[in-house]
Amino acid sequence: MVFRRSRQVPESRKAIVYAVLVHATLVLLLVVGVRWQAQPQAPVPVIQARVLSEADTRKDIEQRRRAEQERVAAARQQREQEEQRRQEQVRAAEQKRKAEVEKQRKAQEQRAAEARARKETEERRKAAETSLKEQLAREEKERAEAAARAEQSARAQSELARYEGLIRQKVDRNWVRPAGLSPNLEVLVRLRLAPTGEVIQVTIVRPSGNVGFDRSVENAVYKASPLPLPEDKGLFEHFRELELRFRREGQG
Amino acid sequence: MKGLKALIVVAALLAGLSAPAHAILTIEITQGVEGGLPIAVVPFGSSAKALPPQDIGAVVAADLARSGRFTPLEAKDFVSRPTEDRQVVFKDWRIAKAEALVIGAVKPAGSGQWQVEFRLYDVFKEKQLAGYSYTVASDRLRAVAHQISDLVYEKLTGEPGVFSTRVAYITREKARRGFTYKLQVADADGYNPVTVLSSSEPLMSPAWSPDGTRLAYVSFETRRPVLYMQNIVSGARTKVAEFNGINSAPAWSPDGTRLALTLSRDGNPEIYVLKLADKVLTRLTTHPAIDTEPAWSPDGRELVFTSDRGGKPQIYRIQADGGSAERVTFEGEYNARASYAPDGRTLTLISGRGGRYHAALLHLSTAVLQTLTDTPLDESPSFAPNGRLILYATERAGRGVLASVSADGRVRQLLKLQEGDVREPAWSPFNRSTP
Repeated sequence: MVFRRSRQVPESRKAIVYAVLVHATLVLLLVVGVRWQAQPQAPVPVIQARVLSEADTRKDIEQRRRAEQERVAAARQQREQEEQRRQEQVRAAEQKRKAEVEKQRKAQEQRAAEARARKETEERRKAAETSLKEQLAREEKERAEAAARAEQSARAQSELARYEGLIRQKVDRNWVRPAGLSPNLEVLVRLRLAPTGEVIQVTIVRPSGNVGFDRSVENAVYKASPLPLPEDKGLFEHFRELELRFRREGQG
Repeated sequence: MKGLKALIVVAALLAGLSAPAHAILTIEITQGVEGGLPIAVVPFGSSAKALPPQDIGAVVAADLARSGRFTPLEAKDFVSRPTEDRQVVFKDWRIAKAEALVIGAVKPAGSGQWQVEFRLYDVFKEKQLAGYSYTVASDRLRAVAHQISDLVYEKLTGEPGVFSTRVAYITREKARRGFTYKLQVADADGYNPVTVLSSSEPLMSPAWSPDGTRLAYVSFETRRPVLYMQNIVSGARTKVAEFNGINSAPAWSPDGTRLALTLSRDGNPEIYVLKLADKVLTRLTTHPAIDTEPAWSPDGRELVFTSDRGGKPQIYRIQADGGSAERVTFEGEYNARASYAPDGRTLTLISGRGGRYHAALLHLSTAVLQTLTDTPLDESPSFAPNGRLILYATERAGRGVLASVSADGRVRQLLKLQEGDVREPAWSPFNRSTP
C-alpha cells in the first residue's frame, strides 16, 4: 500500500511539470508569434502598403492579448483546479492511509490488550491456585507447629513448675529463720545460677530492714546451692536468673 | 498515624527484647525453720606453755547460745580447727552448715598480759566480717570474750549485743546468826560477781540508773525500809526516802531525773514520783487498794504499776503526771511486777495461775499474754537493754537462782549459780562502766 503510494507521488509530480511546461511554451509562442507578425519589414519595394490604423492594430493586439489572458487565466484556473483536485486526492489518500494505519494500530492494540488480559487472568488464576495451596500448606504447618509448641510449652510449664517446687523445697529446708522477729518481714532476692545450679550471686533486691533476717535469707540460698535444675538445657534460661521472695507465713 | 504505627512497632520490639527480663521466675519461700544462726566458734588457739586462764571461745559460744539468736555447732564435729586466717577452709564450714565462723588465739604478751586475736567470717560469702586484737590482763579475759560476743552478735544480727552489760541482784546466805544479805553486780552471764553492799538485814529492789552508774535499793539496815542510791564505782551512797511506813520499789525515769517509788506515808501504799534535784514529791495514785511496783515507759510519759484494786493484783497504767489509771492485764488471776521492753511494745511481768508464777510477756497492742517459762516460782523479770532477753529469778532445789529467757520464750538458760539464795535481778542498761 505504502509502495503504491510512493510510486504515485512522483508520477503526479511529473504530470504537473509537464502541464506547466506545455502552458509556458504556449504562452511563449503566442507572445513571440505576435512579434514576428508585426516585424516583417522587408527591404523589398514597398507596395502600397496598406496602412493599418493604429486603432486596428491595438484592437487586434488587444483582442489577442485578452484572448491570451483569458486562455492563461483558464489554464491557471484549470491548473489550480487540478492542483486542488490532486491535493484533495492526496489528502484523501493520506487520510485513508492514516485511517488504515490507525485501524491497524487499534486492532493490534486490542489484540495485545486481549492477550494481556488473557494472560493476566491466567496468571491470576494460577496465582490464586498456588496461593490457596500455599496457604493450606502454611496453615497446616502452622497448626502442626502450634500443636508442637503447645505440647512443648505444656511440657516446659510442667517442668518449670516441678523445678520451681524442688527449688522452693530445697531453699525452705535450708532456711533457718531468726527467732523472735516481727512476723511482717519480707525479703526479695535475685539469684544468678550457673547451668549446674550453682548459685553464683545473691542480690538483695528488697531488704526486710532486719540485718539478721536478710542474712538468714542469703545464707539459705547459699546453703541450698546447687539448686535443682531441669535436665532440659533449653529450660535453663528460665532459671538463669531467679527471684525468691522470703516471708514468714502464719502466726504473729 | 505513621508515627503511631512506628511507635507500636518499637514498643512491640522492645517488649520482645525485654520479655526474658520480665519473665523472671519468682518463687515464694514461706517455711524455713525458726532457729538460731548456726555458728562455729573454734576453740581459741594457745601455746602449750602458757594456757590462758579463760577459754575465750567457750565463753563466746556460751554467750551466743544464751542469746537465743545463735546455735553454736558442737566443737567435736569440726573437721578443721583453724586458729589463724590462713588456715580457714570455708568449704569445711559450708559442709558443716555453719553460716558464720569465729576463730582466734590467745598468746601471752608479757608481764601478766595476754594478747587476744579473733576473726569473724561469713562462711558462704567467704568474707571476714570483723577482726580485732586486744591486749589485757588475766582478769579482763572474760570481759574481752563478752566484747567479742557483742561484736559477733551485732555484725550478724544488726542489733547491739548485751554480753558486756551487767546484772544486779540480791543474795541471801546463812550466817552464824541469821542471814547475810548482799547487793551484787555481775557480768551478764553471772560471772565476776562484785558485792556492792552487805548487810545482816534484808536488802531489796535494786534498780539501775539509766546511765548505769548508780543503783537505787531498799535497805532494812535500820530495821525499817529506807531507800538509798549508791554509785557502784565509788561506793558513795545517799539516802533518798525515809518516810514513815513503806519506802520501796524505786524506778528511775528514763531521763534519770526522777524516781518513781511506793510510799505508805499517807496510810496506804501509793505510787509517788520524786524529783531528784529538788526532792519534790508528787503522788500519782489515790486508791484505797495497794498500788506498788511502778515502772516507766521508755518515753517517760506513763508508768505501769501493780494494784489489787480489782480484788487481785493486776497491772494498771497511768500518765506520768497523774490522772486515772487503766487496767492493762485481764488474763490470769495474778499479774505483777511489770516492766517495759525497750521498744515500749511489750511488758514482761509475773503471771500467776493456780499457785504457779511464770515470767510472761504482755503484748500491749493486742493484750495477748504469752507465758515464757514453765518454772513455778519465777519473780522479778526485766528486759535486757536490747529487748531480746529477759532476766528473772526462779527457784531450783529450794533456792533462788538467776535465769534468762529469750523474748520469744524459745531459749531458757540458768546463769552461773551464785552462792546462796538469789533474788530480784535487774539488768543494767548499755553501759561499759565497771566497778
